[in-house]
Amino acid sequence: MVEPVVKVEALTKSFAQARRSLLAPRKRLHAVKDVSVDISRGEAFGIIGESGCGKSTLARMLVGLHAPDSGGILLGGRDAKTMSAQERNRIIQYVFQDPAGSLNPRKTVRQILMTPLKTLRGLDARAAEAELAGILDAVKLPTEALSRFPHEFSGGQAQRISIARALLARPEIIVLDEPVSALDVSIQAQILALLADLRAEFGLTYIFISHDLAVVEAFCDRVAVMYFGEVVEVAAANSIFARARHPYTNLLASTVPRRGDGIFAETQGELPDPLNPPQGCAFRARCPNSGDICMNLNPVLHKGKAGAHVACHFADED
Amino acid sequence: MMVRFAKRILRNRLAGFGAGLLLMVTGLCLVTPFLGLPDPNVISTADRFSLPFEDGFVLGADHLGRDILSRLLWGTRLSLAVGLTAALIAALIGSLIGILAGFFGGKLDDLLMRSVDVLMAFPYILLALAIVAVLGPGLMNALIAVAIVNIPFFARNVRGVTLVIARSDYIAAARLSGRGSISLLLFEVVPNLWSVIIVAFSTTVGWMILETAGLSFLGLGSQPPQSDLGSMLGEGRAALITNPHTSVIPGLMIFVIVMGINLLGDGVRDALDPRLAKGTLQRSSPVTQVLRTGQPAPVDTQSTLDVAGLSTEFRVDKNPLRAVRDVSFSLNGGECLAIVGESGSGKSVTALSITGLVASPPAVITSGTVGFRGRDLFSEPFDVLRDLRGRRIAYIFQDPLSTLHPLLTVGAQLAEAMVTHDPRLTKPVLRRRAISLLEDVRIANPEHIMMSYPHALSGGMRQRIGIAMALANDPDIIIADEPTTALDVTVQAQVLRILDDLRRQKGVGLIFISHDLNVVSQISDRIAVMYAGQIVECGPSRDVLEQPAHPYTRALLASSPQIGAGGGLPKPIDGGLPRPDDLPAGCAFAARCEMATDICSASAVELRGSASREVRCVKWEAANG
Repeated sequence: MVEPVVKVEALTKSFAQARRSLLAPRKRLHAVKDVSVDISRGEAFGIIGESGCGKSTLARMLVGLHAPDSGGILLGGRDAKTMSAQERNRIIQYVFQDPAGSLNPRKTVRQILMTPLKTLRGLDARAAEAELAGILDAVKLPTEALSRFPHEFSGGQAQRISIARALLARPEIIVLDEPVSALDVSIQAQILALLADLRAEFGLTYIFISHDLAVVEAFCDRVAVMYFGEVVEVAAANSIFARARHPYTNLLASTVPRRGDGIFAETQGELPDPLNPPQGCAFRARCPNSGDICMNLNPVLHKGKAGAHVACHFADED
Repeated sequence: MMVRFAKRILRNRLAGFGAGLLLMVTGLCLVTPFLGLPDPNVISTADRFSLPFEDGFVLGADHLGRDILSRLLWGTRLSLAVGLTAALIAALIGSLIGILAGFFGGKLDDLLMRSVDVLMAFPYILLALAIVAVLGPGLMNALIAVAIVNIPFFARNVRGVTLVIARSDYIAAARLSGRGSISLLLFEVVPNLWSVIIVAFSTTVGWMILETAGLSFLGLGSQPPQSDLGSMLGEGRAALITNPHTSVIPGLMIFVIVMGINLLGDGVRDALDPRLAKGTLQRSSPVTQVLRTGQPAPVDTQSTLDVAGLSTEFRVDKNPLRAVRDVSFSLNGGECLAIVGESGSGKSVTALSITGLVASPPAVITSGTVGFRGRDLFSEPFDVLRDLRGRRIAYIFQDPLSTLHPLLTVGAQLAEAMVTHDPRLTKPVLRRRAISLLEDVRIANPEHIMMSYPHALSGGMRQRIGIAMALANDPDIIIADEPTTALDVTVQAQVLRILDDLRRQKGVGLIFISHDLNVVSQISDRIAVMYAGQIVECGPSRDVLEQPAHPYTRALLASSPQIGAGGGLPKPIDGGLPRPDDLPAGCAFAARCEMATDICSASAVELRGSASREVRCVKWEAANG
């Protein structure tokens, strides 16, 4: 088997909450719980889930913006803990959701794009200029863009600048954190097409975080579904929603609006309180086929019959 | 850059006046040594208390017969220099503390900010007095005292802003581009802090000059015979009644300086504050300005709501931004009309124009009528419109948190919404109605939710409250502007279900505004697609989605992915929206359209067809004419 380019092992992260009162104990919010995933070279791997499911925390741990409490990350076979921040960011880069917010308002595009060239790759001025011209061409921005400030660009153009910045580190892997959610659909499609082209051109591996099932299905090869800090299902993108194995994936697939279908909605259903997580399976209160075992035992992610990985006690009983 | 900035400050007349005063005073200070004034410290008891223009003293003489004009100018020099230096020192040290505390956080933040808190715990002037008492009187020590007293102001201001910047995505992005902490701080954070520091400086320097004068007045600052404004005032105080000019003259000078600085400081703040960047704060009128040429057409009396030929524009620069152009549609009770478009298409401005909620200035409704039950709302007096808003025509917005009052409980807000339109309602009735409203939006434990504050609720719960608020007065029409865009899919489905049930069961007319065709397809009877301020296609939902007639509708459908479609990546629409202040003469979509030919751009394209399908396209007209 080919060595995965990203190997995540039992990754866990919690955040300390402010004390409610002077004497109350500090509660911890478990954002990511015991997540393990392998991602192959050249793959577009989607991570999907609703707000608060831990997908962004997971993504930020991969690039080193958060330090995990426990568990390990291997990038290209090397333990990320042994790498310096700069070494790590030459391998893995990140594109943020908010296109305008991720560009410093006081810097010109040239200054923004020069930073990775100088600090991560140590290029001299001439080599850097040549790179700049090439990258603008790759993300389809005019050369005049270099001397402008971020506020002079539309959302789609600003996202192209962010993508260019990530590419200039010459990474193997790019984490795309909701890269098109803030954009209009026609622009969203432009950026997705650009990302697909760049993936082929530079041989990139993508980790694509999103809450939009349709975008993930169209863009990714494999998808992990997260619920309440855990991965509950991993399967091929073209089948995961059509043949959902985990009841939560099924819920997502049936509530997402489809043209020509009526509205399908749960009558009740909210996330559990993250500060007082329930015993057993976190989804059981919303689950149509939960049994006694779900109350006591949290199911672990295991390989199911069709090659998909599912974390459900009842997944294989069909 | 500097010139533009100066122009922006001087646009504010008071700031210009302040700048003028300051220029005059600093000019006088600069030329003082060359004016050939008498020595300010030469005592001539024979001339004590000479009045202005007496014995060759332009401004008279003080209690020791010294020339007041000379003492005043030399004193002003000194006071300004000391005040400015103190302000610079306080700004430098305070900002440094704030930057370090805000950027590094943790223990360093605790240590620095708690020390600053200790400084702040003492009353201002007492602390300054204590410092001078320890160091001993003298101008230099007064300067140190004033600087120290003002450090907390800068430290706290700068720390707050640094904290926000340090947590921003662009700092995280720069970190991932390889910058270390020091380099991040110097090259990414600090450039964003200048405006805050300058604003803080310009609004406090006047105060610091006053404080220095205060210490001198008490005899703790400049020591005799050296004059500064505070000490002159102090010396003149004894003769305040008999010879008022000795104290009035330095008093006036202090007044002129501080007023000049404060007026200019306010101008600088207004020019630098991003919230005020688009000009000074304007008070907008309670209803959008209506400037229609000619007599408006009579309104349709058949439908509940009838919008005809509505045009709204924003008059900001020379060319008006034409946000809504000749939009017409009608709606009856129980119906749902979806208005679909991308950002900038004019869908929200259309919705807000209906009850005149677009801020004027700069918005102006230039043509059209909004008929509600046969009355033209734009011809009615404001009272009628205000009464209709919220009561007969209610709104639901994307972010309910921005429309809910953060300090009132959900129950109190529901009650308020009902009482505003019917003051006779009693408390028990209000409570009962509020509970039933919450049940209408499927809230499981209404009594508990009534007592909650908006911030404690989840996004989906808040949007239900938003819907309950809209329902509070049994409206005929609800206008929902992107009501589910901020919600997760499972919650979105629940909110759509509620809205759909309500319009069917209560017979409310629903205008559902969205950018998402998939969402719209589930709830609407009819769809109007907007592009560049115009409706380009309108018809029954199923027909528009299954047989789109306008090229833009087709392109929009092809660019919105759907699950289970299996067709690979969505197809982008090349290019972008035309600028609303520079719209083409012909079809606004022609530049992005695959079918466009020369005739598309030749002249304005009309919306043609029947009630079952209206399309604004030359090609469609030719084929279906």
